[in-house]
Amino acid sequence: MRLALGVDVGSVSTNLVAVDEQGRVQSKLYLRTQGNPIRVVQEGLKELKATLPPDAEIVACGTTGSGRRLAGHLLAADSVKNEITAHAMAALSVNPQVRTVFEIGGQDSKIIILRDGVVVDFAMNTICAAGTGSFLDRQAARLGVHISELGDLALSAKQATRIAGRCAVFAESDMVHKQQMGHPVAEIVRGLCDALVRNYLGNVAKGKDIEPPIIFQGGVAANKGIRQAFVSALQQEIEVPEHYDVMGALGAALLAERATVHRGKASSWRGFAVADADCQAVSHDCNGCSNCCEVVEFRIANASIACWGDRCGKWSHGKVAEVADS
Amino acid sequence: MRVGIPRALTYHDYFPLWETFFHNLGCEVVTSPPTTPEIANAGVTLAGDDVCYPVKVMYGHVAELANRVDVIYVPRLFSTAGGTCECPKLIGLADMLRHSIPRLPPLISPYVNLRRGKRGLWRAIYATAAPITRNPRRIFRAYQAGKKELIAYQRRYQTGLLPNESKSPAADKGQLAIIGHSYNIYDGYVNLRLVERLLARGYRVLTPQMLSKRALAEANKILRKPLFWSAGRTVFGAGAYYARRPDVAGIIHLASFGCGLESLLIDLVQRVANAHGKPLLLLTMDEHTGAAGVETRLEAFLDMLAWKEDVACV
Repeated sequence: MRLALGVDVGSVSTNLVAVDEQGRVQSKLYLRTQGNPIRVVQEGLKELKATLPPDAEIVACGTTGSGRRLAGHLLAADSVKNEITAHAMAALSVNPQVRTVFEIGGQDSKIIILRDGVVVDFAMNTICAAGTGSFLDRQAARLGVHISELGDLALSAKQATRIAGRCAVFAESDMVHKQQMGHPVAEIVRGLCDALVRNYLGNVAKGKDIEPPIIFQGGVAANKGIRQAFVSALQQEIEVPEHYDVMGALGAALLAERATVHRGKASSWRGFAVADADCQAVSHDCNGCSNCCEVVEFRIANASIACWGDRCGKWSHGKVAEVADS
Repeated sequence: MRVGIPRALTYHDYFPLWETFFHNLGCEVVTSPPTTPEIANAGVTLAGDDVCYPVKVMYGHVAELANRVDVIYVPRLFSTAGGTCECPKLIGLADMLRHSIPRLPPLISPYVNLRRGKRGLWRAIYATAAPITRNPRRIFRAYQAGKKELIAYQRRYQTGLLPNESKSPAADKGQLAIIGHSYNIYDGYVNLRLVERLLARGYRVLTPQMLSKRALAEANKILRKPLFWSAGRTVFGAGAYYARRPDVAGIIHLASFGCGLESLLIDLVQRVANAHGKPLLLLTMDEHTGAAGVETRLEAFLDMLAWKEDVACV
């Protein structure tokens, strides 16, 4: 079986996906990054390999997410692409007619506007993490509710308590205050979902033409309360795809396929053996000039694979540019 | 006398005038180096929390000059064109600096108010020269020489060249306009090397400074009421002008977080870009030095532009 591997290394989660030639997801993994992207990708590879049939062959490998460059070097990926392009590609594979994509992940949220299968506009959240998964995670923990139960709890409430959604700090103090006033937890949770959606539509999606079909993806799409809040705010159908939680990785796999299989090129990927290799990223401040760049060096089995972070090219020698452009 | 000129804020708009003026009055002109991490960090530490990042960087530049010059030139720019006003942070800058940076040499901070026309201008010029000379002829000549340099500098921009370019580079990918305050566009440290990133990818970069005053004024006419801020007129005018140009692939709006002017401009620019169907990317900059966020947005924006041209290329 010929498969394309997609890896999305995000701030909160790292996802791996194996896609067959028809674009169907054969295997997927959702792991917590926990601040160690190299190790989590290596462990993910081992786990993914165990789930694949013995005749599986990886013919393309792509990375995306904030750790795409690091993962790209680790795997010698065929394509290293940003999250917007990857998410748009994945959404198009689910519904080629899609015109709006909402993506809410661990630390950022985005909106992508497509027309005739092409991205025409997008926006990402600027500074605050108020409208994202980490914030929901934290509030769920504070209320003593498991994150997976948050959505059902919100739906069980008959009405919503109004919560300030502009800023994570304000939202939290508002929630504490409403609890002290005696509002039931379910209504507070529903209010939190409404606040998050209000914040998203008022900031990230501000000024964008939201037209159906709308696809909602990213880890937060699991939350039924948020989905419901979107539906009632927009008065429109929202589609949540089957693999909503790994759409970035799916997009990375599809992009890698386009970069190799569709162009008749062989994959450059290192193979599953890299999961057991000794990989390290070390950084130092270069003192060559007043720019004081923070240079990162990536090593596999103590051999230098790539450097990046320098402005002048003294360390990167163009190696990085090759990978980033491919 | 050694006159220090901080390489920040309005420096990028006026330095040929300032440098030549002081030079012609027999002063030694010392300019702070392009922003470094040390300068920026010093600025963040010295400045209050409520000012924007470019003003904080200005503090760093002034502090860098403090020990090696006799005076520092920080004009109090109230208005640089009739009917407009500058940002309140620029108007109060000299006072803010005096009260927040210890052991500062004297500041030359003439009140510049061109709403008062020629009179306002001459007052500012004499006040600038006052600590050095009171000879009107010398002052007039120095100003004439400075003005000549400034006009040459502005003309150079209008030929489409960036400050360190001698000839326009081959732009195989097309042209992109960056609009925003000049201190954001021309300070590579503050904008995380945005211009370099675009040039390295084969794009040609257009800026508001490449447009004539007339083109900007013309572009501003689509507003029912003229903008109050002079910087606002430049940013919006450039946005409206480049939005209409078919040979500009897209516009990047570079804004500072917490900027009062930008809060209005962001929306105005978005409307004019939408009206002409021009792709627009908003980059809001603050103190972060990690370029990952900028890089991701930029990559996605350029992918989007390429994708529009050719569906198979991504």
